[in-house]
Amino acid sequence: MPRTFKATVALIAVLGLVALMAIISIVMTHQNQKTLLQVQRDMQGVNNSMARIQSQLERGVAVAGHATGTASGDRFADALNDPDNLLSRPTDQLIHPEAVPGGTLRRAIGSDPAGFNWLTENSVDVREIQTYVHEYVARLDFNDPDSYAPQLAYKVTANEDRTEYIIHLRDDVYWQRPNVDTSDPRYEWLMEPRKMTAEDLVFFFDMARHPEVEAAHIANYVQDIDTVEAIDDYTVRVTWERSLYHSESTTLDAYPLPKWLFSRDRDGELFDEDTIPNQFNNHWSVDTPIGVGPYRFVRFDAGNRVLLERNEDYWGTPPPIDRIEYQIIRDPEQAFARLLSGSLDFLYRMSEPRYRSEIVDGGANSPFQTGELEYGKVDAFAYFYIGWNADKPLFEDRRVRTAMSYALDKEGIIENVFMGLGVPQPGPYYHDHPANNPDIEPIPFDLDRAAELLDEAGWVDTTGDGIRNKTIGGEVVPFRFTLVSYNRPTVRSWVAVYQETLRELGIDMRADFVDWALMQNRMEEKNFDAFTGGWGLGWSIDLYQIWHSSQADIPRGSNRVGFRNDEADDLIETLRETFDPDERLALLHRFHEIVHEEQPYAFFYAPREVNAWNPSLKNVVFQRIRPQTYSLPWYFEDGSN
Amino acid sequence: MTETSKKRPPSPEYQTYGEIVWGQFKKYPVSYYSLWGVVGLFILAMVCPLIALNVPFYLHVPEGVGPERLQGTSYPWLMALFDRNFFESGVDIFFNFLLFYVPLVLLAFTFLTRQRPGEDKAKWKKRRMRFLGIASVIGVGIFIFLYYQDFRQPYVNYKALAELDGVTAIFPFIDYSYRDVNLMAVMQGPSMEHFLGTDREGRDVFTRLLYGTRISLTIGVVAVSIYTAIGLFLGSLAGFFGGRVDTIVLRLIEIMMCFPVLFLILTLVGFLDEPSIFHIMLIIGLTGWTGIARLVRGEFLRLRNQDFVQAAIALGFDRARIIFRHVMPNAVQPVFVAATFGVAGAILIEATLSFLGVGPANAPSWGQILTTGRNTQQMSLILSAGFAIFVTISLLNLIGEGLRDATDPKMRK
Repeated sequence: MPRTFKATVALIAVLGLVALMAIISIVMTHQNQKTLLQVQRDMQGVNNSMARIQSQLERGVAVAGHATGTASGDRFADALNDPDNLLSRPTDQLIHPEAVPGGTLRRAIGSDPAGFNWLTENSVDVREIQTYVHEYVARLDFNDPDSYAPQLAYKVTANEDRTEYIIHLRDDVYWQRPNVDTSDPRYEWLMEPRKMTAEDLVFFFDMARHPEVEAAHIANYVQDIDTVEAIDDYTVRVTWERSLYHSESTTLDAYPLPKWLFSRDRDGELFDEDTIPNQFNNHWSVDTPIGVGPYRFVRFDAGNRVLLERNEDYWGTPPPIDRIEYQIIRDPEQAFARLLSGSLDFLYRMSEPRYRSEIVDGGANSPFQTGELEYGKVDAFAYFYIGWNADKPLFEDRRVRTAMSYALDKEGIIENVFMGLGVPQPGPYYHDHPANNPDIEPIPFDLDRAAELLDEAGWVDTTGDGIRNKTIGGEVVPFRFTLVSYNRPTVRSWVAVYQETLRELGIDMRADFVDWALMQNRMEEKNFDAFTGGWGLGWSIDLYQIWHSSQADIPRGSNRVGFRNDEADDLIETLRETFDPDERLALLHRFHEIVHEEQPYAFFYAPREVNAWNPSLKNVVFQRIRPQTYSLPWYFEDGSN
Repeated sequence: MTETSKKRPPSPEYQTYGEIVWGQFKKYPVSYYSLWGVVGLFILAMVCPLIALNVPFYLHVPEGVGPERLQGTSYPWLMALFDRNFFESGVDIFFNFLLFYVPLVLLAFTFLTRQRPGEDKAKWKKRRMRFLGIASVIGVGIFIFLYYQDFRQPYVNYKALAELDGVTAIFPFIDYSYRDVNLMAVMQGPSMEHFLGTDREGRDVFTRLLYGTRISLTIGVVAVSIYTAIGLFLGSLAGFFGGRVDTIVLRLIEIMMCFPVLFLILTLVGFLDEPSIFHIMLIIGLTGWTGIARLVRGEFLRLRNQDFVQAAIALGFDRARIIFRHVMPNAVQPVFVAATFGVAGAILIEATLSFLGVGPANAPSWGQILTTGRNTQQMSLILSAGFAIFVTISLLNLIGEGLRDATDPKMRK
């Protein structure tokens, strides 16, 4: 630092000059870059046509080679003509016929997956990775979610009252090898090829039903299964104790688990049969999970990425993209920056301000205008809510919970904070699903009504300190609580708005922003007053997991808010045994009504997501049901990126 | 005897160490003006509510309009300053309190501590210092009393009230608060209504920036006070006693220095349920003391063998007296310099933490404004918060530079 005043001024002037020169040089490089980009684009055009010609040639060869081996394929395809088969020919075409093979699809997820045990992990990210690495008995048809398309089974039949299912599995499916250090002689036993058999599917049901296996989210679906047995090597019979609606989806959504792997330790020594379920929860192999799907798991670098690679032994049509890399990027802004710089190909869920600045207000220089990026919107099959812990005195009164819903300015927040990317959530179902009761409107924003309800419930400011209070058990309790919130800029934003609205009502809400893992922990310990949550939805509705009172008291159960309503319990149980669509609809409507009256959640919004991608990615289609951004149909224009 | 004492010649006009340093410091104009800049920032932090608050100084509600308890003439601004429903953080209450207390003390200072005729200059100076000391202790006492009063009052939307017929209200110059949201005005650009635009929740960014001064300055000063105290204590122990104590303290320092401070802080914050500004200060304070401790230890090692210390030991003074009266005053001058730079560092760490989203949730800190700007692509937010951080850090660093040179006898001008 110079010691005199004059020298300082001189230094500042010189610095200013340098800054000016830097700006000029940046502008000039930018112009040069533009010309370069143009040239590159032209080059790419030439390359693309080359690649197309090449791939056409290759396909000709591939089809010719394939024709000799289709004898067994026909057997499986013919089974779909059988009128008893529950599976129907898929109406969706997952692999694009003109797809050019090659390339690495780099996409982003927001946090580290908690683990890769397909059965015990229940987070959306792990489920998504599972759909690439593994396959199910059958899958929902993406275009027609009311019917099932064959996957590992080519034929499934059931008896009249749906208590017995016979699953016929394909016999040409091989398990992947765990991605272990192959030079280590202790893993030699893993090297031999292993076929997926009926035993593996039976093993799945055994594990899912075993009390020692930590799979609470699935336990109440499989608890009514009577027996699961292998009839022969590729046929399984599943018998249910009683006729239940969800038996079909539970049976068809099953996936085999490799018994030969889970029953052994690292050296290939068999465990004692009784200890298998216990070992299953933390089996060594779940660090390098395997499946039979189109991709295989290569590695997971904590905090960095999850890498999948095409499974060369896959039984079905191989997907065009060679590798899928999930980069773990916590910050949505950083994810967008990476997309711009080209180190990411696909960005699921752009942040709302980005959507506004780049797409809504984006001028001619926006990357979406210049063709550097493309985008598409999709209504996510999910909704967000604020859950109130009904086991705490603060929220046990439904008038209080309803008042909290009235105080949430859904429309205003969606319009102004989310830039219109959302739909107010009417109740417990997907907003565009026939199950919604047409007579019920989402609760509007009405502070006067909220104040009235709070007064009725006995929460009045008697001490004059601006905070409502109520005498509970001889003690004056102020209306003060902590909202456990997911630490994301968007959540921070709307929570701040809600907090100020509640202050007007005389409610002191604090927000505690925590990461997903800690949040999960608090949920399990029921250590919260209220929390911000979200549910991914399924097309076929089963309310038991989230809403049945029995799920409120079991550890890791999903009824975290403690929703207990006898009529709702009856409805949920009746729904499980009702097959008639009209009758089901009536029951679902009634359930919607109850939830609306009880307001166990403040139902907030269903997000509308904006996905952005690199234009060299072609045929980017989104599915109606989850996984909505399934990348099997996608391919890179020139086979690489 | 009395005769002689009266006629005693006035003591020679020698300068204390502080006066020498101050005299030297004034010769560095850049640093000198920076010091006034920082004082200005403190004043700004104090007077924020005078400039920006959505509560009127004066309110007159005629009968039959608005809620009953507000009828008549009232001065809601005064009460709002200590309303814990509105100013949740103790930092705000503290500065609001200073807004009244500091002018009062200054006034008393100028009138009560005038040099009495015939008063010895040294005595006068001592009296002035004593006055300031007592005033600060009383001030802290009153603040603690105020803080634990936990005063709260019901919410009133004064701006909506002022729109009603017949209501007279005089608002501060900017009638926004740093926390009231407005969904009808989100993410606006700079305008006459909002000088720096609004953020994602529709809050006025200029107001938030203004109140952010409080957070940044408090964090800087408090965090550095904490770690200076720890550093002074451990450093003087190590330097004075040497031997085993020295070894233990040095190893402690080395262990602390092994951890990258920012990551250590991030980890510690992860353990907190609801990190508040005070937690952040405490954590910065508990992790930053190593540098100070080493400085003090070095000074003590140097001073321990000086004649005046040896003399004090020979005289049989107890250790506490030697350490605090004889060695410490000579050892603190490098600490002052380090602390000045430390304040700048602490402000930067706080901004970093807020930027990374681990700070207190909706506090109007500069780092938060920066993140918001980054998330919403609003240049006005990024530039203004960045500029505020830049100016504060630069001022503090310039003061530090000047102080360093002023305390260095070789650089004397």
